[in-house]
Amino acid sequence: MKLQTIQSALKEDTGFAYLVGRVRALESGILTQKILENILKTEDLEQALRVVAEIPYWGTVFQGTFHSPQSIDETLMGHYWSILEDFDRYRIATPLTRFFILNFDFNFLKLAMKCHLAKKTVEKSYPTTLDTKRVFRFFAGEGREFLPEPFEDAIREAFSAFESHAYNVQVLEFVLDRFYLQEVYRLALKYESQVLKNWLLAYVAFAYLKAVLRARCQGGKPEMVRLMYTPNPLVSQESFVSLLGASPEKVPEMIADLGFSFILPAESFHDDPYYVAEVEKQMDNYLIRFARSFRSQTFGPEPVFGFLWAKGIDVKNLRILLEGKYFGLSQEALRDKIRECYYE
Amino acid sequence: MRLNVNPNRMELMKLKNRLNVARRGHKLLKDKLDALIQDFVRVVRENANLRRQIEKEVVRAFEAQNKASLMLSEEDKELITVFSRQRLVLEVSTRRITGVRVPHFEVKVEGSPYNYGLVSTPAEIDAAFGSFFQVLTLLVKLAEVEKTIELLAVEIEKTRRRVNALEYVLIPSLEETIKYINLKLDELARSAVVSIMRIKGSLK
Amino acid sequence: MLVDGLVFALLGSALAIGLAGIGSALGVGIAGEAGAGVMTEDPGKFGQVLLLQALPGTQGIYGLLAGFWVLIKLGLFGGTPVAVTVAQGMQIMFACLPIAIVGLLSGISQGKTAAASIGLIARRPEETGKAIILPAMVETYAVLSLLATILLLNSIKL
Repeated sequence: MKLQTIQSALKEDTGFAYLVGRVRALESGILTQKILENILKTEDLEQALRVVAEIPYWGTVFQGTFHSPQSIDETLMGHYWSILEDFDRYRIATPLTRFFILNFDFNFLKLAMKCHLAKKTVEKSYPTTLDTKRVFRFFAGEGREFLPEPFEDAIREAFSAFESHAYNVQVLEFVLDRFYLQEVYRLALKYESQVLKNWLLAYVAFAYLKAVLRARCQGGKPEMVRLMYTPNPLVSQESFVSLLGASPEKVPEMIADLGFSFILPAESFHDDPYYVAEVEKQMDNYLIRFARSFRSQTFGPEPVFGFLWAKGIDVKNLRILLEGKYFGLSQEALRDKIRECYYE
Repeated sequence: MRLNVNPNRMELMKLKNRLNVARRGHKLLKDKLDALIQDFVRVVRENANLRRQIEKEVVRAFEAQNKASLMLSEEDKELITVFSRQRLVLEVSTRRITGVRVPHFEVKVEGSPYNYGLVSTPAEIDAAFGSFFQVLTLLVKLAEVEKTIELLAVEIEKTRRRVNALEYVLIPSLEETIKYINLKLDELARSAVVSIMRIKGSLK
Repeated sequence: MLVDGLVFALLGSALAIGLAGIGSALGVGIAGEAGAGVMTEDPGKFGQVLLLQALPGTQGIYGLLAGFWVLIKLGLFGGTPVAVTVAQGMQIMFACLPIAIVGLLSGISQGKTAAASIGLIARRPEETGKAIILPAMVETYAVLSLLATILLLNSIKL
């Protein structure tokens, strides 16, 4: 017994000490509610960028960025991607960064497939670990070409589903989304940290709830929406499909039965994209509140994961604020959209 | 303006007939003009309403687009728009308003407007796509109404020119000519009477 | 007889130096990793980080001190070696255990605390003073165990 405690004391994920140290330093660059308010109060993009430049580690990020949504987004995504790549270089952090990189890779894959079908080329370069040329050679059916594990099957299945569903483009994405969420779920099973596992499961469940609520607004069909589904413990296929067909009065009840009543905003449920947008915001807020408990961990993967997620939320918030300033949207409209911060 | 005709009874008969026809034509054209103007006013009013509605919808659509744009990265934007299998079919037929052929457009949509996934995109774009879709059908309707206005206006102008030509040129000149011929014939009759009276006098 | 007793005494000395040293090495290592992480992003923190990293190093020194104490007591540093019975040898060995065990574990714990404190100063540089106190508290128990070892050693009559 005693030997075991010593062993566990010795083992406890101190392997993350270096990364946690880095994260602690980098966390001073994480946005807070106060900074967001300050950016909100500015009158135009110019002033907003000046406020951003005063945040630690953001000082030089926006140097040489043009005042256009494209340029702002490029800068933000480049910044986020460089942090992910940097952390990805440490073997111990690879399972953590994989979750974030998967999203980028699947997005790129979707884009590449659509471009392939539209007989276009991917003109701009987007952050991904996949090689554009290889992906296109794979599409062209060159036997020698192969792609990493989930992607090959995903591509094959997506193309065949596309053909069997009367060439509906949404089917492509549904199948790829399924592979993405399946991969996230597998990752969750691999994680040793229980809280991270739970967090990922919540992420997958939220993805499904949001998808089904949006499918309701779009009038999606069950046989198509089902293509998205991968078995997971929080949302069963049965409840997933029945949520699609349920009458609007019953939906809040069904969501409450699944244990997710906290994602519904205060107003009563109705099938409206803006209502679903509000649900998405609640989901993001829940996930970040969940991740806040990771901050207080001294060792282990949690603080690193929490930081990377928080950085993603920061990128989202900054995009909302800076582009909002560019379009000249009102403070209230922007305040409505911004997500909660990692640090209060 | 007097027509250049021989002042005899034959011509007078002809002219009287023409005047009759012209008057009847004038009355008919005038009725048509009234009907056209009524339609025109109706369509113009419809157009004004439609325009106001479209202005509202377009503003709403662009607001929705801006809101959605905040939530989307550039990659997402390209992803959402790069490939669509939705097709719009525009069916053109014609109908008649007071004898004027005007076009009638019917939009038919094949395939879904939502060509993107539901997991990695924000819900705001659904609203944006929905609004723009509404604007599209309204714009097609507007095109129909505008074309109708144009065709009606041309027709009204043409009809009015005809009415005016009848009212101010043809009918007055016919009347004048008839009057002239009448006078001329009276003159002839009087001179015949006078010459008979003179002959009678010289016989006494 | 004489040789057997010395074996136990030397084992005690070796344990004190070795285990406490391992504890310190692990502790300094953990703190050092965290420190390197912080300095990757903020090289200006070198001073505070070094101070915190050095804190878990004391256990090793205490162990070494206890080990030398035993050697001096045995008269192995110059002078004539003292004859040690098996019982005395084992007494010395047990006397060394407090600093050996506590040195090992407190070294690791202090290392972790130091790493956490390094994290703290990375976010709040103004709290450096408080951040140093926290791992220093762990030091107390290393000092106490050293004290215990020395008292125990002194109480052994050769």
